[in-house]
Amino acid sequence: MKRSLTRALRRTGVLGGLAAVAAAGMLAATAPDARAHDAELEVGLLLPFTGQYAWVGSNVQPVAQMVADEVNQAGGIAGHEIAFVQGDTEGVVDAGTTAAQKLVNVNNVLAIVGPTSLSFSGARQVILQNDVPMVSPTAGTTALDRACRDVCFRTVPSDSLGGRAIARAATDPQYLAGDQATRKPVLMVGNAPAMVSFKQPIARAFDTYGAPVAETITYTPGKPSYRSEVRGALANDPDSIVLVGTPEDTARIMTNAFQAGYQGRWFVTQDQTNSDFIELAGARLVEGIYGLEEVSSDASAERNRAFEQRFRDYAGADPQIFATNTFDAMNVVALAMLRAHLRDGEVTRANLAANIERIANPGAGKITVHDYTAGAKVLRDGGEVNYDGLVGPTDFDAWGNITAPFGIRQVQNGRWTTVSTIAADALN
Amino acid sequence: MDLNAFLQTLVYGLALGGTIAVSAVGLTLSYGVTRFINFAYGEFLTLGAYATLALAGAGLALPLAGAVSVVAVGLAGVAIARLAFDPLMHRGLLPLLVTSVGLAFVLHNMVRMVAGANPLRFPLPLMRPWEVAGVFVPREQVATIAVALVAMALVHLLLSRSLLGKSMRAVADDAALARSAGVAAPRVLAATWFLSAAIGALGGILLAVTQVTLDPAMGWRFLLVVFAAVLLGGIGSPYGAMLGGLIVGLGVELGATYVSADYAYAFAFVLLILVLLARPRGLMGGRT
Amino acid sequence: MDLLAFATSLITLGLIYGLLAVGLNVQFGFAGVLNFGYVAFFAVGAFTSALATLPPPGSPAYVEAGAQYALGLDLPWLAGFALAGLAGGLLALVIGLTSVRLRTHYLAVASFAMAEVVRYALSNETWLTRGEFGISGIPQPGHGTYVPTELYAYAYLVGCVAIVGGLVWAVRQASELPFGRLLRAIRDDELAARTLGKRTARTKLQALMIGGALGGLAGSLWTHSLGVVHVGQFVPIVTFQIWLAMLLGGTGNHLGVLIGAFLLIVIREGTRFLDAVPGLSAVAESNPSFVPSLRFVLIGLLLMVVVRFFPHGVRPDRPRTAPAFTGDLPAVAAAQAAQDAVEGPILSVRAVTKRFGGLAAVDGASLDVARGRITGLIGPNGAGKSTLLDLVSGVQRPDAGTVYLNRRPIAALPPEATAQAGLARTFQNPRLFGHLTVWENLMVAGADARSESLATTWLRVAGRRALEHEIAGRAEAVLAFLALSGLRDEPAAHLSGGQRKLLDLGRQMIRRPSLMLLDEPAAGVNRTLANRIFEHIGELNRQGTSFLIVEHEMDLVMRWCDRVIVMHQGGVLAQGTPAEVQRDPAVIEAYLGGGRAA
Repeated sequence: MKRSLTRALRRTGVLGGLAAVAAAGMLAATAPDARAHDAELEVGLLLPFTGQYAWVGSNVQPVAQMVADEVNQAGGIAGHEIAFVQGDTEGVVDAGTTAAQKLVNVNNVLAIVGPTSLSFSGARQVILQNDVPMVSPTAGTTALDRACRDVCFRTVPSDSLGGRAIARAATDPQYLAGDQATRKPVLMVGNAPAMVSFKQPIARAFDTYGAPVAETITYTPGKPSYRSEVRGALANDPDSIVLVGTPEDTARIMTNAFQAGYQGRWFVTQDQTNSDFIELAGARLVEGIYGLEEVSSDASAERNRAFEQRFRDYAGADPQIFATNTFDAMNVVALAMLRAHLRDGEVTRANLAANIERIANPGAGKITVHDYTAGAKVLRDGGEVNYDGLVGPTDFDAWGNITAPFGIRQVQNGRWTTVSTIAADALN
Repeated sequence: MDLNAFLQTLVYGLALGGTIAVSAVGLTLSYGVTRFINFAYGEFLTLGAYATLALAGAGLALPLAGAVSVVAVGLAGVAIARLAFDPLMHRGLLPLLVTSVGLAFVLHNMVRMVAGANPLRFPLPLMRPWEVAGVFVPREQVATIAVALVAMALVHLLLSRSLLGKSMRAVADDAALARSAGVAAPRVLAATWFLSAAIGALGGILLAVTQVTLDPAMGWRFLLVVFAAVLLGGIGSPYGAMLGGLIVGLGVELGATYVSADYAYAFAFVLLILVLLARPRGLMGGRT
Repeated sequence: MDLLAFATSLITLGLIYGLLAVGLNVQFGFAGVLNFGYVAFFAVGAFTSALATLPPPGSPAYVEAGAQYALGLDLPWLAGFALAGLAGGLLALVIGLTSVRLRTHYLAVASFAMAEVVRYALSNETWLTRGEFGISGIPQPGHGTYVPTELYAYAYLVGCVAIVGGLVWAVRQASELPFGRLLRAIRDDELAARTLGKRTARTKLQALMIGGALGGLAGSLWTHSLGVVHVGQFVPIVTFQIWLAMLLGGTGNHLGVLIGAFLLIVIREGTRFLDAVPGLSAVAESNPSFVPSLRFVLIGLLLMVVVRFFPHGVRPDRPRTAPAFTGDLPAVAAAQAAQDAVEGPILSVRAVTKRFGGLAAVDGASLDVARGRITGLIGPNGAGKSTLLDLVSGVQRPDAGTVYLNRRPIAALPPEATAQAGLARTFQNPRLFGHLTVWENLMVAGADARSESLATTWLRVAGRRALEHEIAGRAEAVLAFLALSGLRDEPAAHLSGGQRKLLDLGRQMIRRPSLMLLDEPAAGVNRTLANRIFEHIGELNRQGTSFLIVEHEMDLVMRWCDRVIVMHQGGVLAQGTPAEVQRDPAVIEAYLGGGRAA
C-alpha cells in the first residue's frame, strides 16, 4: 500500500515535472519577452506550419523575413528591429485560436501577418477584441469580404474578384494568346477553405459573360488520383477546364487529364501561377495553361520579375505561392510602423492600424513607392507615401480589401509569360 | 459510351486498387504476427517515397533507387519496431495501438523537419496513355499493376513455400504453440517487421507514382484507405488484403464517377462499415 | 491582464477537453469500447448547438451579419446545449447498435472511419453547415446582455467550471455505484457478467451513449466559447489528443482524466514556446516548419513515453475500499426453489447435439437433473461435459435438441436469460472480474437490474441506498459463509486458485439460483479446501438449491452426489445412484476401468 503510494507519487512527480517544465518554459519565454519587447517590434505569423496546409507557412515566412531583413539592415524602426513569432495554426480551428491567443496576449505582437481562411474563424474574436492589426497575404476567402473594419487588411484580392477575372479572360479572346473564347467550361474545385470560395464567383461570372459552366465538380483534396473526377469533367467535352486546387492536387488532376487524352485549355488561380508550380507539375504538362496573377499595372509585371530575382538571390529558391502577397503585406506593416514611429514617437497596435491606410492608399501629394527602402526615405524626409505593391495598387477599402488588375499569364516554353492585363474596372 | 465510361472507371479503379492492395498486404502481414494494427504503417509509405526521391536526386536510376529504398526502409522498420514495439509486446493491445499513433506523429513530422513542408515532384516522365478500344490505359499504372502483381506473387511464394513464411504463419496461428515447437519467435518477428516495412515502402513508391507529388503527410492520409482494405479482407489475411485493396480502389473510383466526387473517400469507409455489419471479421477473415 | 486572458482561454479549453476525455473514459475506461472516432460526437454536438441557437435566416441579425446559412432555430442556449447532448447520445446509439458485433481492431478502425464519414458529410453538406466556410456569429449566452464583452471570457470560464464540474461529478457518481461497477465488470469479462444475468449489451450501450452525450455537450461548450463552428476542427488528430489526455490522466479515473486534459493543454500549448529556445530556429532556417514539426515530434514521443513508462497515468484507477457493513447479517442464501411450484426434474436435456467442425462434442445427449438434489456429471476428458454446461447455460447454442428449465425451454436463450431464469454456472477456470475486489465481485453478482439502472443511479437516491444496503448485507453473509471476509478489498486477480474457486461459487450463491451448474469446483484445490467447498454445496443443497456438478474427484462424487450421470463421447452412457453407476459394466469399461476409480 505504502509502496504503491510512493510509486504513484513518483509517477505524478515525473509527469507533473514534465508539465512543470512546459509551464516554466511558458513563463520563462514570456519574461524575457517583456524585456525584449522594448528592443524588438514583434510581428506574429499566424499561419499553418504543420498539418495539411503546412506549405503555406513555409512559403510566407522567408519572404516576410526578407523584408524584415531589409528594414533591420537599414537600422530598423528607430533602432528597433522587426522580429517574427510563429503561431502555428496546425490547420485545426482551436489550435488557430490558441496560437492567436499566445501571439496577442503573451507575445504582445504589434501586428499579425496571416491568417489563412480556415484559421480566421477561430482567431477572429481574439484579433478583433484586442484590435490587433492583421494583414493577411493568404485569406482570399469571400467569407472575409465583409468581416471586419479598421484592423483587418489583406493583400490578396477576394476570390470573388479572382473568380471574375478568370471568367472574363477565358471568355474574351483579347486576353488570350491567340486562343478562341471559351464556350463550354468545366469548373473543378477542391473542397477546402481556401478553394471553395472561388466556386460561386467563377460560376456566376461565366454566366454573366455568356458561357455557363457545363458542370462544377467539387472534389476531395489530397486524393492520390483524380481519374474518375477528370473523366467526369471530360464527359462534358469542355473546351476549357478551370481548376482551383492546391499545387499538388492541381498537378495530379492535370496529369490525370493528360493521361485521359485531354487537349483543351486550362485556367488556374494565382496559387499555381509561379515557377514553383511548373517545377512541381513538370514543364511539359503545363505548357500552354493560363494562370492568374495580381499586378498593379502593366509596368508592374517587371517589378514582379525583379522581385523573383531578388528572392532567388536571398533564399536560393524560387518564390512560391503567396510570395508576392507576403511581400506587400510586410511592406505595408513596416511602412506603417515607421510612419507611426515618426509621427507619434511610438508604435502601438492602434496607431499601427491607423497608419496602414495612410501609407497604402493614394492621396494628394503622396509619392508612390514600391518597397520599404524608398518609402522610408520619403517618410523620413517628411513626405507621405502611397505604397503600390506587386499584387496591385494595394489600396484598401473600408473592409480592408484590395482591388487589383489581373495579369493573365501563360506557360510558354516552360516559363510563365504575361499575355495580357485585365484592368480592375473591366471586372465590374 | 456508357459502357466505355464504365470500363474506363474499372481500369482506373484497378490501378488505384493495386497500390492499395500492395500497401494493405504489408500492414496485414505485421498484424498476423504481432496482433495489433500499426498506425505508424503509413509512415513506411512516406519514408519509401521520400527515400526514393532522395536517391534518385543523388543520381541513381529510378528503379534502383526504389529497390534500395525498399530495403533501407525495411531495415529501418526492424529498428523502429525493436525500439518502440518489442518492449510492449506483452502488455496487451492498447499500449501498442497508442504507441503506433505516437510513432506516426514522430515520423511524419521528422520527414517534414528534414524535407520541408512543400510538396515535391516525383521524378517520373510524363506519358500519354495507351488507348485500347476507346479506353485509356495509363502506362505508369500498367507498370504499377505489374509491380503490384509481382510483389504479391513473391509474397505468396514466400508465405507458402519458404521456411520463414511457414514460421510466420505458425506464429500467426498460435504464438505460444509455435514457440513451444521451436520456432524462434524474435527472428520471425524481425523478419515480419522487415517485410511489412519494405512492402510499405514499395506501396509508398507506387503511391508516389500514382499521385505524382509527395508531401510529408501522404502516408498518414492514405492510411485510412489501407485500413479499409485490410479490414474488408479480414485482418491478418494477406489474400483478403489484396482483395480488399482492389475492392476499395474500385469503390472509390466508381463512387467518384457515379455518385459524387466530393464524397470519394467516404465511399471506401461506408463500404467498409457495410461489409463489417454483414461479416464482422471481413470477407476472408476467420479468426480474431 | 494579457497573461490572464491567455490562461483563461487555455483553462476553458482544458475544461472542454476534460469533458471530452471523461466521455471517452466512460466509453473506453468503463465500457471497454475502443473508440477511435470520438471526435464525431464533438462535431455533431458543436453543429447541433450552433444551428439550434443561430438567429433564423431572414431575421435582422442574420441580414446584418451578412450570413448565408440555411437553418437557424433561434432557441435559447440551454436548449442548444441539451440538444447537443442528445445528438451526441443518438449518434452513439447508432454506432453502438451497428457496431455491437465488432471486436477490438474492427471497432477501432470502423469508428475511425465513421468519424471520417461524419466529417465528410459536415464538409460537403454545405447547405446545412456552410462546409469549409464555417459559420460565425454563433450566439454566446449572456454576451453583451448580462456580461460585458471584456469580461465575457472570464464569465464563460466560470460557467464552464460549473457545468463541467457538475457533469463530471454526476458521471463519477454513476461510476462508483452499481451501474459503474457493472461496467467495470463487463470490461474485465463480459461473458462472466452475462452468466450472472446481466444484460451487458444494454449497459454498454448506455455507457456509450453517456460518453457520446458528453462529447456532444463539450461540442456545445466549444462552439459557444468561440462563437464559430467550422468543420476544420473535427479532424482525426483531435481524437488522438483526447486519447492522450485520458491516458495521461489515468484510464478509469474520471478526476485523473480531467487532470490529464489539463496536462495535455499545458503540453500542447507549452511546446509552442519551443521557439524561445536559443539557437533552435537557426538549425534549419530555410525550413520554417522545422520548429513547429519538432513540437509534434516531442508530443508523439511523449505519447510513447507515457504508454511505456506510465501506463496508468498520473492518477491511476485504484482498487476501491468497501464501506464497512453495519446492521444485521441476513441468513445465507436461501434458494428460491420454494417459489417454483413445478414438479418433476428441474432440468431436462433432450437429444442435444453440438458440433465443432466435423466433430460432435455433444451428440444427442439426454438427461434429467432431479429437483433439490446434487447430481454429479462425470466422464473422461473430452466426453463433452463442459460443452454440455455451455449449451445448458446459453454460452453456446446447441445445433439440435432442447433444454428445459422448470419445463420452460431455454435452449435458444442467451446466457443472461438463462441466468435470470434461475440458472447459475461456474467455469472450470473461474472467470472473475480481475480488477474488481472480492467484495465488488459479489456486489456485481448480487445487484439486480433495478439497482443498476440509470434512473436509480441519478434519481432515486433513497431507494438506491436501501437496495445497496440490502445487497451489501447478502455479500457480507456470503463472505462470512465462505470465510473470505479478510480478503474483501483484495482485487480478484490477486487471489490464489482455491480462493478464486470459492469466490466464483460465492458470486453464484449471492444470486440465490434454483439450479447451479458447477464445472469442477474442487479442481486444483487442496484437499481441505475441496472438502470445505463441498460442505458449502451440501449446506446450500439442504436449503433447497439443486446442483449439477462436473467433478473428476471420484471420492467427492461418491460422497456428496445423490445421483451420477456418466458421459462418454458426447452421449450419456449411464445414470443412477453413485453405487449403481460404479457397478455398471459399461461405465467401468469406458471410464472407471481406466484406473481412475479411487
